[in-house]
This record gives sequence, C-alpha cells and structure tokens, in this order.
Amino acid sequence: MKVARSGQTTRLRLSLAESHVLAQLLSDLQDELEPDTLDADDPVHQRLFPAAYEDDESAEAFREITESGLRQDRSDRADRCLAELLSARSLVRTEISLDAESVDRWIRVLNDMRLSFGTRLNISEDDDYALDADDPDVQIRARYVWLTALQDMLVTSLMG
Amino acid sequence: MAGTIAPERTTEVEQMPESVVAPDQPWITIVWNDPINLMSYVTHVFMTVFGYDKSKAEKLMLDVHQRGRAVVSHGTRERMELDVNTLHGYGLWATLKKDA
Repeated sequence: MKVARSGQTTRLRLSLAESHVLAQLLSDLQDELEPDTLDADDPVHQRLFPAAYEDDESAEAFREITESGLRQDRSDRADRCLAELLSARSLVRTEISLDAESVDRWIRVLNDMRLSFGTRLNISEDDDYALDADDPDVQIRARYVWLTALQDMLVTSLMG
Repeated sequence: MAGTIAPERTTEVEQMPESVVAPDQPWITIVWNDPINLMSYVTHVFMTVFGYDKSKAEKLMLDVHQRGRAVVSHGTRERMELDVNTLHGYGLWATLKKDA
C-alpha cells in the first residue's frame, strides 16, 4: 500500500492481495448499506445514522427524514470506489489516480467501513491498534487497522 | 412558551411594535468525541464542510478530542439540521439544540 501526491493528483497503489481484500470489504459495505440488512437498534446502524437530537422523539423524526438520503449517498460512494478499484486492477498491481474530490469520497467510504468494524470491535479511545493472535477478532482487527492506516495516508496526502 | 397562544384580534395587539416579538433563538451544532474517527479525518471534515483553514479546523478538532465536544456552527434550526445531516454523512457524531 502506497499513497503519493503529485500536483493535484493522489496516487493510491495496492498489491494484488490488498486490492482483493479491499474489493471484498467494499462489497461487504454495499451489503450492509442495503435497507434491510441492519436492524434499527443495531449499534452499527445507530453509529451510521446517529441521533441528531437529545430527545428521542425529535431524533427519530429527524432520522426518518434523513436516513434514506444518507444511506443512498453512502451506497453511491461505495459503488463508485468499487468500480474504480476494479477497473484499475491488474495482475501486477493496482494504481488508482484520484483528484481531491475523489480522495474525499474514498476517505469517507473508508470511514464508513471503519465505523462499522470499530463499532463491532467496541474500539476504545486509547486503542493501540495492536494485534494479538489469540484474539478471536484478530482478523477483523487486522482489517480495521489496515483501513485506518490507508485512510490516514489519504487524509494526510490531501493536507500536504 | 412563545408562539403557541393565538393573539386576540384587538387593535391593541395589531399595533404592538415589532420589537416586542422575540427574535428566533439561535441554534447550535455540536460534534461529540468518539473513539473511531481519526483526528486527521475530523480536521479534514471541518476544513471541507465549513471551509475552515487547517489551524482553525485543528483547534476545533482538539476541542472535541480534549473536552469531549465542541460547538462547530450556529444559526437557524433549519441551517443546523443541514449541518448535522452533512456531518452525519461524514460519519461524525453531531447533534443540534437551541443555544442556552
């Protein structure tokens, strides 16, 4: 995984294995964003569509108005990223060239995946991103840590 | 609570000066600290959504990180609902309320 910035363009380079994993994760996110996948009381649903008001009644009314739009936007962004990834993938390597707007989209999609994994893993504020082979969630954690590194590299590339 | 009782249709009420009517209370958008969003990402969001420069966005991000929350915008309720919706689209934990 490598991120390089030249001029207005950010280049994301992935190994074949990395691009396979990322394509699978994007596909999983698409599934998770289908309207019936997550129950309303699922912690991931609560995290992707948080309460906008302290009182439950206003929060629920707000969510009723905004949720489908937020869901559709997230889904559209994931679709575009997956299409870009698949069209850039070759047997040798994957290299995607992104303008600032596309980097912003990728960063947001990576964040949606991190919110989903992080919520399931119950990530805490002082998490050290360490991996423990005996941890039953080690595979999910490894993906979370990798997504975090990739997102941070892309954000940093934008800020210069 | 203002605005819930219909005024009597008397000349006196109709001639009441406009200054008596309370102006709309401003509303505020609050972003809360959460353990998943990265500090760099939250800074990026504040720069992108509000057009803040990096130093202002970083200061706001540190407020959220260190104090647990920060007021990121204020205005009408409708405007704040738009801001909150935008921030939710970025995965930030944002709420709105009437400014106390």
